[in-house]
Parts: sequence; C-alpha cells; structure tokens
Amino acid sequence: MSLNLAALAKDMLNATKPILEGYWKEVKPFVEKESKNFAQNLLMIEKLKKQDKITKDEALLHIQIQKNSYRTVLLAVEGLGLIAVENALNAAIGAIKKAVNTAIGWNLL
Amino acid sequence: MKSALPIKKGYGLLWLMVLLLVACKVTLLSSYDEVTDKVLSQMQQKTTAFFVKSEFNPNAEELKYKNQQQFYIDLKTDATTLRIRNNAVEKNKPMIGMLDLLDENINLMDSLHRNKPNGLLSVNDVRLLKSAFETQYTAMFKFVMALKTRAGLK
Repeated sequence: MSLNLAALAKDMLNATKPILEGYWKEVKPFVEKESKNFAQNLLMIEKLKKQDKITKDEALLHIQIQKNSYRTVLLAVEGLGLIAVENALNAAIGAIKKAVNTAIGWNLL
Repeated sequence: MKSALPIKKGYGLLWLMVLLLVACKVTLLSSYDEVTDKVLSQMQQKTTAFFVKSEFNPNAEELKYKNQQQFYIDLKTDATTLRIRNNAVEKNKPMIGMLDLLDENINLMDSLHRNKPNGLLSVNDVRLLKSAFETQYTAMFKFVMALKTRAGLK
C-alpha cells in the first residue's frame, strides 16, 4: 500500500494541534507547510526504495535526518509559543499593575 | 526657566515607570544572541553552497567525500562552538535542542556521504538533504528573529 501525502500531512497536523492549541492560529501556516514537506520527503524515500535506488541503511539515515528536521520545527514553535506566553504574562501584569500597587500601597508589580 | 521644572518632573516619573516595568518583566527565555545569529548564518551559507554545487555538477571530483572533509570539519566546529556557547545560557532549552538536532544531522549527512561507494551523494540524496537542512535552518532563524524582535532590535 502506498503512502498518501494528504492523509499523512492531515494526521501530523491533527497530532500536533492539541499540543499547540494555545498559539495554533499563529503557527498553523508554518507547521502545515513543514508537515507537508516532511510527508513529501517520506514519499520520495518510498519511491526510491521501489526503484531500488536506495539501500536500507541509507533510508534509515534519511528518515532520521527528516525526523530531526521536523523536530527542529516543533522546537522552534515551542520557543515562539514561550515568547507569546511571555508577552501575554507581561500584558496581564501591566493591566493589573496600577490597581494592585495602589491597593497594597507598595510598588510590588 | 520656571517652565522647565514640570517637564523634568514628568521625565522623572516616566523613567521611574520604565524602571518598574523592566524590574517586573516576566522572562521565560534567554535574550537574543548576535553571535549565535551570525555563526548560524555562516553555517547556513556553507551548507547551501555545498548543495548548490552538488545540484550544478553532481559528479564533480571536488564533491567526493575525500575532498569534502574540510566542509564537514568546519560545520561540526561551528555546531560545537554554538552548542557550548548556548549551553552556558539560562532559559535556553529550545535553542539548545535545535542545535543538538542540527549537530546530529551534520553527523548523519557525513555518515551517508562517507559510505557512498563512489564518494558522491546522488541527486536524490542531495534533494532530500537540502530539503531537511533548509527546513531546519528556517525554523531556527524564525526563532532567532523572534528573539531579535522581542529585544527591540528589528
């Protein structure tokens, strides 16, 4: 049975979406593009195997390289998410700062 | 002369507010590092140049593994330098993780190239490797650029 690019990309997106829920809207185009790219490269490895143009050892190396590349995308998304969380926290603190400091009488925030 | 006093007081209050804001700022990640940005750009240029040469003339003697060992040594040196530098920085987990994966991929590519019977990567090898490394560098630059913007440098 051959691999299906659309199905692979969809499964990958469905698996990553719940993890990235908080900032999904911002990272969706980037993750979508790279998931499709990853799936396309898997398809190419499958095609090369069928054509006897790749050995098992070479295929294993290529798969590991593609996996590492995709994991880098997810780590970048994690980092971008932390920046978004940081911005949200600072905005939240900024929003309550005056009220809290006034109520307590000390500049705590 | 008299009118200058309220303006100075106003600046003083503004500075006080800025100082308070800075003091209370939440930081979950390390700050932007210019050296990491520069070395990463150099690594990306070296890798891209290798792939462009491979696409242009895939059977060139120059591209055989025995003639490309310096390319791998340079990339591994850069990757190790960046890893050591970034390991010493607090709140830097995403970047350290990405550098580990980049280092691993350089070693895997080296291994693939070294074991080629004719010493040359095939056109398909180059296509797959180019795609993987482009993705990897793009992801890393996206993160570095976000840190740069956060630092108000862009």
